[in-house]
Amino acid sequence: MQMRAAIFFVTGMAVMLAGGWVGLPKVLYKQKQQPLQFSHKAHKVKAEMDCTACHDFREDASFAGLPKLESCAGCHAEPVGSTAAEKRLVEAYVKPEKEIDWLVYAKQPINARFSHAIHVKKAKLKCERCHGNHGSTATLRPYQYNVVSGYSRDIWGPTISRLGRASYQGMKMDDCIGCHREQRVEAGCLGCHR
Amino acid sequence: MRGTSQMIKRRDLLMLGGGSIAAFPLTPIPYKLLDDISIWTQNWPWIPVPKAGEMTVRNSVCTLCRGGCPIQVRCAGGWPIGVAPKPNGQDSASSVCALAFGSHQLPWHPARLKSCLLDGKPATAEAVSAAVADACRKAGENSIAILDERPGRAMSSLYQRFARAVKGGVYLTPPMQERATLEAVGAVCGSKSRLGFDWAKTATVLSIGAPLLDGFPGAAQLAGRRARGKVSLVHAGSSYSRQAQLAERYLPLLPGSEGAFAIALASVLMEKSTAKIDGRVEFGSVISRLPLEKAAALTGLKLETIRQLASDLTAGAPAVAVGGGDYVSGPFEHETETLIAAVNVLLGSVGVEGGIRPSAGSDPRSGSTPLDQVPDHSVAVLIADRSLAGFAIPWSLIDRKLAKDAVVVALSSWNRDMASKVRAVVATPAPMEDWTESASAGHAGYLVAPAILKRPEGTVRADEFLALLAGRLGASLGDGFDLGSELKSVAGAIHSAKRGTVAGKKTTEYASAEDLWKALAEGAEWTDTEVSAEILKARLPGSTPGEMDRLIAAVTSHATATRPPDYPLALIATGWIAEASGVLPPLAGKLDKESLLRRPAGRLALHPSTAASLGLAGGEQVQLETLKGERLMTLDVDDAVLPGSVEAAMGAGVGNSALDLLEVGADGTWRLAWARVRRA
Repeated sequence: MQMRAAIFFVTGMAVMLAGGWVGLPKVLYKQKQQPLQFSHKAHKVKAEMDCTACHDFREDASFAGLPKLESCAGCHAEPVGSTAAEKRLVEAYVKPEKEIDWLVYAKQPINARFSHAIHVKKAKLKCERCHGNHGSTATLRPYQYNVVSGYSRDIWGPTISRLGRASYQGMKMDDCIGCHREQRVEAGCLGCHR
Repeated sequence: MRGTSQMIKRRDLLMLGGGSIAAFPLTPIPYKLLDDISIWTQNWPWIPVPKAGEMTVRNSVCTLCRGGCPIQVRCAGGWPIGVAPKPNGQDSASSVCALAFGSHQLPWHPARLKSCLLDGKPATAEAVSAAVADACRKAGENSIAILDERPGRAMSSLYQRFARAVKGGVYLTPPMQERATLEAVGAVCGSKSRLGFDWAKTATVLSIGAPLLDGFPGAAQLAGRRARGKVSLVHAGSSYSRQAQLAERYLPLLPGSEGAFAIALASVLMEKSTAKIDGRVEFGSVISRLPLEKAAALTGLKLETIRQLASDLTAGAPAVAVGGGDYVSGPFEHETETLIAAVNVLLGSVGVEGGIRPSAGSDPRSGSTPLDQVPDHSVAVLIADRSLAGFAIPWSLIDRKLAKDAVVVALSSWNRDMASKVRAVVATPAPMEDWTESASAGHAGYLVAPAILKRPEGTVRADEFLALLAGRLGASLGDGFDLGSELKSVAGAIHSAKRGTVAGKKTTEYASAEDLWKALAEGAEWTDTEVSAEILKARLPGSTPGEMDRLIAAVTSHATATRPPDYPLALIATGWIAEASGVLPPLAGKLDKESLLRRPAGRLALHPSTAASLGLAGGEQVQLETLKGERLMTLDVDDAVLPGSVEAAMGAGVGNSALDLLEVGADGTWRLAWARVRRA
């Protein structure tokens, strides 16, 4: 009788653990495709462009973020190559002058502010420190977002446990604090929050 | 039988559920969902979202207290999203407190009023002005008073014009605690000029209960000099206040013994000094009536401590002693201020650089009637400007001035504080939504915070409301009765006075008043550095008939002998200056409530020995009782509180404020009450 009870108890535990560790991420995250495919690798290797060629800094050193369509149109007024994405870029966006609604993997809540200028220019951090090999990928992976918070999965990181993650896997406040502690740089609450 | 055993039974389901529940904390579900839900709550549609856009910085000034700290407001797309100290703000601190850091959040405070209230219900400014005009017409011989807690502003001039224009109009000002010591020195020395502390050159400051670094005019300048090691601070008081924490030395005084402390210090200084000062003999006879040892015993300090302090002040010249009391415990009695004035005279700080000097400016309170001098029950209509609260004013002080069926109107941005006790509230623009001045009665300077945000539709500026009211009463306010014109008049007056500097430039270097106004409108500070030609003659008090008796009586007035039976504890009300307005910026409130860096409303503190003698422990609900009433509060046990006393918070907002438990005396002071604390 006790054995039977134990089996059911352990089964209950196993179901809950499986649901939590395996089922939750599947329920919690949905994914969308980017409006257009893009090869960072092609731009980096073939066109020999570096990150700041498109993701540049303004004159006041603030980060311009994602490039506007006019940046793309500078080279892609006509299709460069024969891929479907290239054709779609020109036909659906460049010619009708429609901005591309990129889904931003690293978008932070509005109450957080982050200065790329300070981190890149002053602290000399490499883009890869936070964005991994994103700048070398040949395709854009699907954008996964959290159905409760609405933010990108990249903020939490790829694994639900957050254990053993690399420096570029996760952009939670803990990740910022961890790096700041490592670098012994004090920012204070209002250094990042507004 | 076997078949039955293989069926799922209720017990099996319970075990399955039990196992699930046991494993639940071992899964990420509770932690992850808690995190996600907390982020989700940040994005509710009714929560204001700062605009994205061009980052700009506006120079301004914090107007939440009288310190007048220069600040820079960081804006995104024109919206203020952060506040930082203005670097190198002349001689200022380049640092600001938690109030200023969160000041840009105030327009979105939950208690924010965006339309006027009449009898507790939303109303238009026209409806409020009609009701108030009706009350004014019925005032009869009683007065129509306007209470200005920050005299010296352009808005103050408009209040005075309104008071002159309406029948029975009176312009009132509350106790100006920051000027109390200066006025006492002026009275003792017979000066007719406006006196001021020469903070730019003072080397040692003795604050006697005064929150110099925590809301007093000139706080920014003093904090800046202190940060550079140019001034040394000693604080004597009955509460381990923020000022006490910031001072180099803290001398704990028994509650109500400030006068005794001043007389003891004066006695030691008299012993040390042989300087010829007018009135020395008469003053000597005053203090000889209270032996030094006895005076020291009244303060709870050792005589050696007072002797050492006197030596330090003498060695650290120029030194000044500043009284005034703090913003919650209220002003000192006149006699105590007279004794503090005597300390200044004996320190040799009167009329010298780094001490107390006559300035060329006029008294910002000229033309006003002090609130405590208004006859009781004589005010039929009171318009109280609570938009920029000053020092705390107990409601009982206001209430006793009101005639039967008087109408009280508060000008405020918040549905707090007096809002529950008044007939109408005129919703005024919040800080950063309109021009806000930082002129204060105790500091020779002038700053204007510019409007950064557009004010909500339903808000009404005080001058606009007064114009409406005057129109209904048929009173003529004259041309240019609006804040914008008046601010330019102030700039014109500064320009024509040809005194002081604005943004580091002499006012004479500005080609026109318009140029000077443009500089002021961009957050530049006018500092009036000129001193009056009057030669301040130092003299000591005590020569006026009856003065000696009053001085000695003041020293002993709060002695233990005055304690009523069964009320063993001295009640000291504590608080933060901005709490008088009823609200704190959310950031400051968070520090207040969550970290207890400042004691919030509804909390009191006892020394461990006092708590033990009452059989009470921290966290208990207790009743704080005085002869005036009782309040339910939560007890903190804090060894910074003096044994035998109880510190209770005024707190922001209505209700559970210790201020209501204090009795306002005939002289308009409310420094101390005797209290008891018992388990609720």
